[in-house]
Amino acid sequence: MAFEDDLRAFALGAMERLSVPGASIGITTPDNRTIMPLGITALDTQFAVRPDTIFQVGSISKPFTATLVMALVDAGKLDLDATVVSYLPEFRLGSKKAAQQITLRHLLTHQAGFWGDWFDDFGLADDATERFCAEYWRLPQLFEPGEMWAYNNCGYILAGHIAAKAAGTTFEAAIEQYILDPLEMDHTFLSAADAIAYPIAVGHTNNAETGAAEIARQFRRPRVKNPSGGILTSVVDLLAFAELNLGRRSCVLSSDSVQRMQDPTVSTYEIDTAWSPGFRILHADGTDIVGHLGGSYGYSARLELIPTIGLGIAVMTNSSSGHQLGSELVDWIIKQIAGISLPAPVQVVLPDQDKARLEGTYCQPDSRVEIGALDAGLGGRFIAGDPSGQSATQHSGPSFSMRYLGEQRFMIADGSMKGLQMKFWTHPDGTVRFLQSGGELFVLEGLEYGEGATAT
Amino acid sequence: MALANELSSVVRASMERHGVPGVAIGITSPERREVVCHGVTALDTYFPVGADTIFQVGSVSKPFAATLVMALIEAGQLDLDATVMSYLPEFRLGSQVAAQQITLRHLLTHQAGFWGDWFDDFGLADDATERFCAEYWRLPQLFDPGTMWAYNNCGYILAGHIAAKAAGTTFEAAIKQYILDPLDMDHTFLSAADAIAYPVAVGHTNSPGTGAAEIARQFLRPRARNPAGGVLASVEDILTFAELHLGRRSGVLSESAIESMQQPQAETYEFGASWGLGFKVQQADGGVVVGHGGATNGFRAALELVPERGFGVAVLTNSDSGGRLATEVVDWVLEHALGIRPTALPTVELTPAEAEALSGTYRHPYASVEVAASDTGLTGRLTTHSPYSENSEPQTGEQFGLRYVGDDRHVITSGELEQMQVKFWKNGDGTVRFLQAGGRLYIPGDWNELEGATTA
Repeated sequence: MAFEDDLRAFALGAMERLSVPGASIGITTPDNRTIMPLGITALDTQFAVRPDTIFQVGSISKPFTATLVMALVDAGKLDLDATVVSYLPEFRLGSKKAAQQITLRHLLTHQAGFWGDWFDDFGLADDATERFCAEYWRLPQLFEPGEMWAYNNCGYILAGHIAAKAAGTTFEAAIEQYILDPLEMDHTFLSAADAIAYPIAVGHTNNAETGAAEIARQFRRPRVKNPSGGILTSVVDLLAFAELNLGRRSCVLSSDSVQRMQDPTVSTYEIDTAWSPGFRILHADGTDIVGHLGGSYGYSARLELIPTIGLGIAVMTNSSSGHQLGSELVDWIIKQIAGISLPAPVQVVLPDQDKARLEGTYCQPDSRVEIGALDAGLGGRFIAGDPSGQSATQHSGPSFSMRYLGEQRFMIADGSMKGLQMKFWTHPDGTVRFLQSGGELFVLEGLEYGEGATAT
Repeated sequence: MALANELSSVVRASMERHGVPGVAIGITSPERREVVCHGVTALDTYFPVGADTIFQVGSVSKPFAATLVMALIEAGQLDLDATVMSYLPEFRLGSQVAAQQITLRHLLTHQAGFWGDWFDDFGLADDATERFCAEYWRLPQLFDPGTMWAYNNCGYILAGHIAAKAAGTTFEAAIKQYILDPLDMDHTFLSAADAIAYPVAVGHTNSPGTGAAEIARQFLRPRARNPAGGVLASVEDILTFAELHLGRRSGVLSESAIESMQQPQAETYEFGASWGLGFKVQQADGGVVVGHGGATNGFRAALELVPERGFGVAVLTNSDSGGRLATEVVDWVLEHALGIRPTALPTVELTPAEAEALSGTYRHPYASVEVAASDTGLTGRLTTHSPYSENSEPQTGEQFGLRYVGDDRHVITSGELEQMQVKFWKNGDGTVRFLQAGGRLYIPGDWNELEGATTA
């Protein structure tokens, strides 16, 4: 009980400090479950969060999609190393060569290499995802399949589409059939119409000036985003999903497939971080922490597993500022239960000649980051919106300074993005190939954004 | 205020009697607006109903669709007496003659004559309604256009589709542009995704055994049904819509358009009841009441106006048994505020020979009524087997009594359908052509012998 009281006090303090209206915390161990709903579902109703309150969990949908793919692998209907074109012969990308090479494993481990943040709305029809994926010839290729890691939403949408086709139904019906029904997860949904008759947490953003929470009514998402971010669920159901991936529920995946979903397949640009088919693997203090973040408009969520001790942690919030809460809560819980401290990166001095080499404006199709020299090291700022400057929605973030961590990695040292890692990838001649931040790749201003970029 | 206090006790007693969990009642008169809310939005959350709670209003959507059509007529984009085929040259019905003759006025006044309760699911895409209406060749013709009145959902869906086409957008966007935005109705929606971030009432059914209210989670309706029954709204917004039709809100319809919608255009089978353009027009004892009821799975609603007194009352409930509450509350309010009462129906003697002549089984595709002669007159029994309800097993109701009120009209005297009117329409030779109840036509013979029925 002392643990729960301490957790509640710590969580409520952090929610107050971070202006998070509501949160639902779940912890599962081999011995018991803790369910802790906190705060309110919406600032207008002030209605309390409950164990059955439904939250959007954003990209935590990706482990669901990966689980569906693995269930279909177990059923002999998919093969992780088969190419996308073996399932979709018509498949096209900006790079024809890459389109022939990409496998399901590349999609689930974010190694496909095409631009992954294209989200045009293809409506609500059953064939929306199929029509969406038929437009991937628009997506430029940034690196060769399997060469490196870059977060790829379109890759998960494509994997979800292939899984649905293999299951012979829609993605939503396949998730229900292969995951939700066997686990009796009756508070997990992929559409507002299915969720609306249950207690719902409403999203909140933070006022740009005061930081105070404000209701975010915009709930609608294109249906095509479902495999990358469409799940709505309760903390009780998310713990059931965690227990599946901790090997405590046997009716969905073989134990081999549970293992394979935690196999660190590719290193990312962040320190001690790799990706498996479906999860981020953080190597901390000699232990693998397996998890995923999720964010959608007005919501933030986090799922973390330590399979070696059977620990699962779920944190769902109805706030855009809930990521910081999730991070603090997970650190606190892991330290309390497992005695593991996440290592603090060591600061390294950045040689002066590297400052000039890394300075510049780096772009991707819908945002850019300006990097400049400061007295000590580098600093920068993000600018959202079309980098051509013609977008009406240009939004400039606050300036930040960057702490050098070695190996061309940096960490944002101040402001609202404090702790975010960045890495400069260079050519053999020392010129910058990519700046990577938030999982995304940016290229130096004026350079083409990947192969096939002109086709867009 | 005394009225509101007294009303509250009337409402509470009615909720208790009928097992209705939540109610929002709105009254608007030239002097004031009042809102009275009781009960809870859902039997799991027990969150109180408020003036901003969103309810499904079912067929109260039809006056919205009719208002949209009238707004487009005023904009010169539609003509009430133009044929459907002048807008949709490809339009087909079971009867090709009828398809050529039917006008927008026939659709809005339920005089089109084709079978109007076909609801197959055409999904959620923007073109769902267009594809739905392209299948009307399946609908058999029951009477010649303009020769009588029979409630017709498919007619409203078709009118909504024609209006959307004339507006150059979707039905949902046209309702927003022509009605919701000009009236600042920001708590009215046509999809779960738009409504879910607001306080939403959850529907309830009544347990077949005990009559106790139970949550009805099934919310999803095919998008094609929106013009016939897709509106979700708060009682405040329904009052604003009422005020539009009481001439107190400008910016949507001219005075003459508002008046024409309330003029009786088609006599119905019910005593003193006609239909205008989108509204039922009921001659009551002490005044004319213009309104519409609504029912969806778990919700019942009513909107009633007394235009000559500038008076409107709206009742929104989250219960299948809310229809009886709505009738009781509306009757009470109209009597106590305006001295208007339902007209009492006479009792007329029915000879045994007449009763015998009406006996028989009358059918439509989803229901049948068995009428039998008894010592006291006539009895009836309704069996439904809707292909669109969750339970596809035939449901046979209790036997009810029928009281003859003259002019081939009868009133149900017992059971769940008490006070419902029934009319036998006769052929020239005195045999029964139709039994009409609940707005629908039932035939004594084989449905498949109707014109156009065999093609379905």
